Amino acid sequence: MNHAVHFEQVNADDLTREVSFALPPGALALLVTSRREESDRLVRLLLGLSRPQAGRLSVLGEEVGALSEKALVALRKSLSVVFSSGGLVSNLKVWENLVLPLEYHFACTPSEIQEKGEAALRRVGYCGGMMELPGHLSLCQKRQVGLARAMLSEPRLMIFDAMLDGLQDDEKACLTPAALEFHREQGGRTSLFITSNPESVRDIPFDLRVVLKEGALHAE
Amino acid sequence: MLKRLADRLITMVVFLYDLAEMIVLAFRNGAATLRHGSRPILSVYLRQVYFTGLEAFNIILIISLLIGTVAITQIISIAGSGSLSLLGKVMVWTIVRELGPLLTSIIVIARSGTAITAEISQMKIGGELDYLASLGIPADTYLIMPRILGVASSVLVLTVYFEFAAVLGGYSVASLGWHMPWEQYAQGIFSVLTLTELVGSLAKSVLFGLCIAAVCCRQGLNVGRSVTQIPQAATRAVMQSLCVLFVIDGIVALLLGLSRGLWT
Repeated sequence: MNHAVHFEQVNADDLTREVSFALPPGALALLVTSRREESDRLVRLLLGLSRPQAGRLSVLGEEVGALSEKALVALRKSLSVVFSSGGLVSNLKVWENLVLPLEYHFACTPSEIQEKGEAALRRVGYCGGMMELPGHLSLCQKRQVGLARAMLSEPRLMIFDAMLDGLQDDEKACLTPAALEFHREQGGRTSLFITSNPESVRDIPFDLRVVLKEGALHAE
Repeated sequence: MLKRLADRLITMVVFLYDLAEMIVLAFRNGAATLRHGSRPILSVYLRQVYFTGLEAFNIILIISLLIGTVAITQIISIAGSGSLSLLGKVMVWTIVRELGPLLTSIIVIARSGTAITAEISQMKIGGELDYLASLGIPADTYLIMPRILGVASSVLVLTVYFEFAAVLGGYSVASLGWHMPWEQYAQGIFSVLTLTELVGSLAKSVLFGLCIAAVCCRQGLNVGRSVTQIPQAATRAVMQSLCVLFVIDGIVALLLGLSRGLWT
């Protein structure tokens, strides 16, 4: 079976133990880690920014450790990450950050970009300024822009890296429905929430939960 | 002692290889971008040209006028006011051949070199290079290439501007102080300002610009995880850029001297 994400006895620095689990395409999954560094390491592994020291990791059918830099760039276009900090580039304004992948990878006209960008921001409930630098935004606003940007790429795999950690309930209420609606919008789209604080995502009805804590691994 | 010398030599060779690789990669990525077109890369390039080129115009104007004034005064004090016909020629030899590309590059190192290193270091420490990579945007195409080409084209334009302003600044002093006619000054200039001279000066300025930007980007990319490394990287970038600048200038001067038959 072709998995969306498949960890086979993967080991790397910052991981408390070998990691093995598989996500079927279309799953809405939660991966609970023991600490923040572990989440960061897993995201880096999934993106191919660092290679596993042992084991095999495949993402969207591609074995990440064996891919060339060019193939990794192609793979990264098929997945999107919403980072806990929002993942925005500090010297680009909100709008420039939002449409960066669209302008870089896709041959869209300026009016298409304008239309898609505004729709994505509306969808995540962003009410801040378009010409603000990320340094002037709240954490929730940064994550809203990060989520909107991730949606614009229409990825097959969405990774939410501690997206709801440290937010108030009303702030979560902006992000969670948008993320879930986006997940359901396209059949076969896999969404993986990674967090070291499962309380932050208690309201989300996951299909699959993987807990990676203190040397134990449970899949529910 | 011998081992330390060998280590130093190897480090220097690796450093020069890295610089050459970055510059070659920048041209290759630039050519690919021109073929496919990419607005964000053009925007980074234009921003770099704005900060390095356009914003430096005023300071370049002031410094070039002062250099022109100093140069002409020194030439007259050495050659005497009876040899005014030499002024134009000596101005070309000093300003166009040497001082134009060299001083313009030093100003660019001071203004933009440190800024480039600090910005890239801060982006690396803040994880922004990983954010870009996660979007499928390689740092060498989006961040490094437009900066290298932007600084090189800015140094080229600023050098032309510097040389023009210094030569005119020199003339205004010679005209006011020693009543030098423009025809005589211009005749001196155009008798030695050949196309080879001009192309040599501009090629040197482009080479300086490419090396300055590559050194500063390399230092920015080499920082670790601590913010205290940002000022250290900026200082290293300035020192390495200056060293590379003077070494290249020395080599080019030697080669041009050989080509003009000065060593026979």
